[in-house]
Amino acid sequence: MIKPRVRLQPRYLLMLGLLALAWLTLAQTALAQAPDATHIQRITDRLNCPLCQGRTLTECEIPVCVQMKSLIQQKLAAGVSDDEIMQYFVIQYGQQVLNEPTAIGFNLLVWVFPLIGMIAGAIIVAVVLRNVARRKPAEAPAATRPLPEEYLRRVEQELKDF
Amino acid sequence: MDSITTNEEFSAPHEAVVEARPIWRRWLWPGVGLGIVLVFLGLLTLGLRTAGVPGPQAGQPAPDFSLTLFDGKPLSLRQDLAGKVVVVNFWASWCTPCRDEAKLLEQTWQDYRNKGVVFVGINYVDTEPEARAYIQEYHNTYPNGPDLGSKISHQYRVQGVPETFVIDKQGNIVGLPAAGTSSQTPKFTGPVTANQLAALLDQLTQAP
Amino acid sequence: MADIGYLLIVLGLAAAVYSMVTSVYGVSARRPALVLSGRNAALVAAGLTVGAALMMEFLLLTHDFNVRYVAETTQLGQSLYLTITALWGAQAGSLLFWSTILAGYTISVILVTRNQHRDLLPWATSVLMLTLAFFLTVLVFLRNPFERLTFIPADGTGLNPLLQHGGMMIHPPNLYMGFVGFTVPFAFAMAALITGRLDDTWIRTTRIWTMIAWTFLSMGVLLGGRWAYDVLGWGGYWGWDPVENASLLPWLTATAFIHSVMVQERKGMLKIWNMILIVATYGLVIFGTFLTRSGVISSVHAFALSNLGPMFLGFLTLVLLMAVGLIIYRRDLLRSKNQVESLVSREASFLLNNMLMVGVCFAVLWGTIFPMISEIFTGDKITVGPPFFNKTVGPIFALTMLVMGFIPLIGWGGATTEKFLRHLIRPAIATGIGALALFLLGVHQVYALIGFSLCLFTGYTTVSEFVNGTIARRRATGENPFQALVNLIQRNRRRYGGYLVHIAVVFIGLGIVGSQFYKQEVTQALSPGESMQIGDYTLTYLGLQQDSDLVKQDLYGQLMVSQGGQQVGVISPQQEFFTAANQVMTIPAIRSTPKEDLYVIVAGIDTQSNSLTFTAHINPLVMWIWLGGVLLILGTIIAAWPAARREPAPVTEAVAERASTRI
Repeated sequence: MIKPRVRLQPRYLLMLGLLALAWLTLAQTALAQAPDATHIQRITDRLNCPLCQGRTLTECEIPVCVQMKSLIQQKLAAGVSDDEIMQYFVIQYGQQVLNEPTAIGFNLLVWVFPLIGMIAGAIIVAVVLRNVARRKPAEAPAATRPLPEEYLRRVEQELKDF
Repeated sequence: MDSITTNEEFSAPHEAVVEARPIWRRWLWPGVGLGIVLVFLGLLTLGLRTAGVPGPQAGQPAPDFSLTLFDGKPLSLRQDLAGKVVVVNFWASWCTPCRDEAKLLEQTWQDYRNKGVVFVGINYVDTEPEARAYIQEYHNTYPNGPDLGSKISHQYRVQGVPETFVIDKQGNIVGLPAAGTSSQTPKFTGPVTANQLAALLDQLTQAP
Repeated sequence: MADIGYLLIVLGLAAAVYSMVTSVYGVSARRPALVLSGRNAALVAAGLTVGAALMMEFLLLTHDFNVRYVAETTQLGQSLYLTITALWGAQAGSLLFWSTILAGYTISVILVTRNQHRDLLPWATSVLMLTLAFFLTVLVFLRNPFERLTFIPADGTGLNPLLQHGGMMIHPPNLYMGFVGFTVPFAFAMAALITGRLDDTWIRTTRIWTMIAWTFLSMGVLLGGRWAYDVLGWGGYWGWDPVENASLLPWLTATAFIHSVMVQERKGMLKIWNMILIVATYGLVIFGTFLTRSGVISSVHAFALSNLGPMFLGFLTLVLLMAVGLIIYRRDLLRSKNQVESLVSREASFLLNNMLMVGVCFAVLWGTIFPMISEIFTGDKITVGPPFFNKTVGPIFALTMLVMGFIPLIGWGGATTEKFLRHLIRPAIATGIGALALFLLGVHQVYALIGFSLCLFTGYTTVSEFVNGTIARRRATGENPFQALVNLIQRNRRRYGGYLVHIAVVFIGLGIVGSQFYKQEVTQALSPGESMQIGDYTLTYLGLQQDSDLVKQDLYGQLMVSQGGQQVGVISPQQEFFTAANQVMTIPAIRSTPKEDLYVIVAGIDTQSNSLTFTAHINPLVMWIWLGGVLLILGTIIAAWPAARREPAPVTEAVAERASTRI
């Protein structure tokens, strides 16, 4: 239990701020040290096994996937660029071989909609909460009133219900 | 007391105020809600229609396709092979049962190529080097090409390899007897056997 | 016998339709006799459906291969439990199973609530019967599970090998219990809307039934993950497959509902919103059934392309339009009486929780149907795979975890910002220290670090709630710590049960973060005597074992596992070859510890060189997902168990308790 020793709000804010900062620094360092996937894995991670749904080429060991992986290896050795390899596979097996649709044209929508949804949700919640904030000053004095008997009963009721 | 919910329409404090609102505001949110539901249902309907396009069916015209063969030549079912009996074989180099029938297919093709029968190999979900090596290995000489973008196998609702469709002179899918039921199936699933194929081809080449 | 089974479903359909009509007519015309008759007819319809399922079980157990369904899902020599579970192993049977569970729910609802909700029950019954009638119609006209073959095969083809696993006993029943269970809250919601009796009675009933369905669905989803992990052999437990998504979607809206319904019970707010959530949950259940059975979206799990699509879509349209129409019609009655009182309040955080849950739901739904949409408009088939879901859903779940961590810090009605910040300091420091420790221990991936920190934060604040409460109780009553903890939970089941569920979610979160970011994989071909390395494990290939029965041939690659130079045991990943289905299953061997799972499969067999190719995975912390699952069930049971009558606690004690947990 923390005893209410200090009342100054800014100090708490400062401490929390410092903590957040320290934490971000840590995260930053972590980002810099993230391990690097092998070159071929960076490609196979983005491709699907064309036969088993929901599995990337990296994870899949069925014969066709093994063949595809060795083909990628050959192409990489021959100096073909990543993008060209991806393109080759799209031509061979169709768009569905990419496990994440290329974000151009119509397929952009797959990303746009959830984003719009989240923003709309955030706005709705924000509007609801802002109405609260606006009304707050009027209610502030109530908080300083001593607890009436009725309030205690309500607290008890709440505890029982929760 | 005022109320707050997720939108303003619903937060109107009193009936009177609600009534005082312009009609468009009163119906704004219900309209939006209904609209979302209708659009969702509409999309599902469209999706169902797209997915509901039936695959090849016995006795029905075979879906047309064209492909670029491994030797670079184009081939189109309706344009190039009209009036012929066509055996369409879906295969892949990684498919073991395909190897069981590879020699047989080539043999049968040799036997019937002068009787108005064409074999077409369609290479399903495969890698080019291995596919070419496979053709070499089994000395397959009939037209053979990759199914780019898996379009043809999708059209034909291929579920695995090998699968073999036979198309008659009129361009219709030949129905084959299905085990266990009186209905017909449009394809051979799994490797074909010599007798099956030869008997069928004899019958089809003699038919008008 | 098969014909009797068919007759049972036909009669069941007739009884369901009769019940639906008489209930509605009886209650509108105020004819109690008709209402009673409708209720009894519902029981009859339910009974007939259960009878049909029993008949099917009889046919399965007696191997009556003349029945097509029996021939397609069983075979001689198939073990008893698989023969029993074949009832839900293919499409027609699973629809019958669906109906049977609905029948079970109908019977329970009628028996449990027969003396309450006199005005609601007839309507609720008719909605239940509408759903039952729909499924029975599908069975009678489109998918007769009792269809006979023209001949009697000597043997059946057996159950799909994917389904030949112990999980078949519990996973689908749980999932179906969850799925179908949401029909009950929906039925009561519709009844409340139709009668206009939108007071608290319906919401109380609905809450309990939702909790029941939610518990089963949670179990179903988790067991599904476990099944994938144990059987599919790719090292993962969740692949964002359309069928998996279909089970997650109603779970998300139901989770949102379970939270926001508390706000309604307490504050009378969010009534329309709760209604929408109930309808959405039920709609998503029907949608999920549609999705997996119509062939609109291809999936490894999906039943073959079928003519069921239009039927399900029609039914979905009917119920959605009915529900939305009723909500719009009754929207004036659904207005809130109250308001959110503070920015920093539980209501506010529940609002956030709801937004996040619905956000996840939307993103998952969108990603699931997007391939279909794309094909409609562009003609291209595309894949929306795990990266999309991880990128959209991951951050939202992270935020949810954060909000969950705040919950114990704030009370109903609200706290001041200063108080909130003061409460935040300890958990924040603890999280900071924990994150630093993790970093020093080698957790260097930034998203993993964020994920673990959030789990840590929420775990800290939630566990503190138990610790502080126990300490306060000890002070007040002098009980020993264990007693104090038990009493604390018991006096406040809903609250502490809920917190237990939150801790369970923290466990699951840990497991997901660990296994997502720190999995390792090595593939190697080994001849007997050779070994391979993964992490600090050494796997030595001992040799091949084989055995076979009527159904399949098993092939085990025995591996000696040593860890850090010490032998810890032998594991045997296997390949099962199913003769009738001509299909190979790769069954992993898993060595599970709290720290990590060693997960090995036989990836390939080379008979010439007598070598096996093994793929070994290390999946850190996966066990915590299953532990979390168990805790989740426990917490839900504690929270949902009907409270026994008890003496009200003295005000002073309660306040002391409350005060102590808040400070």
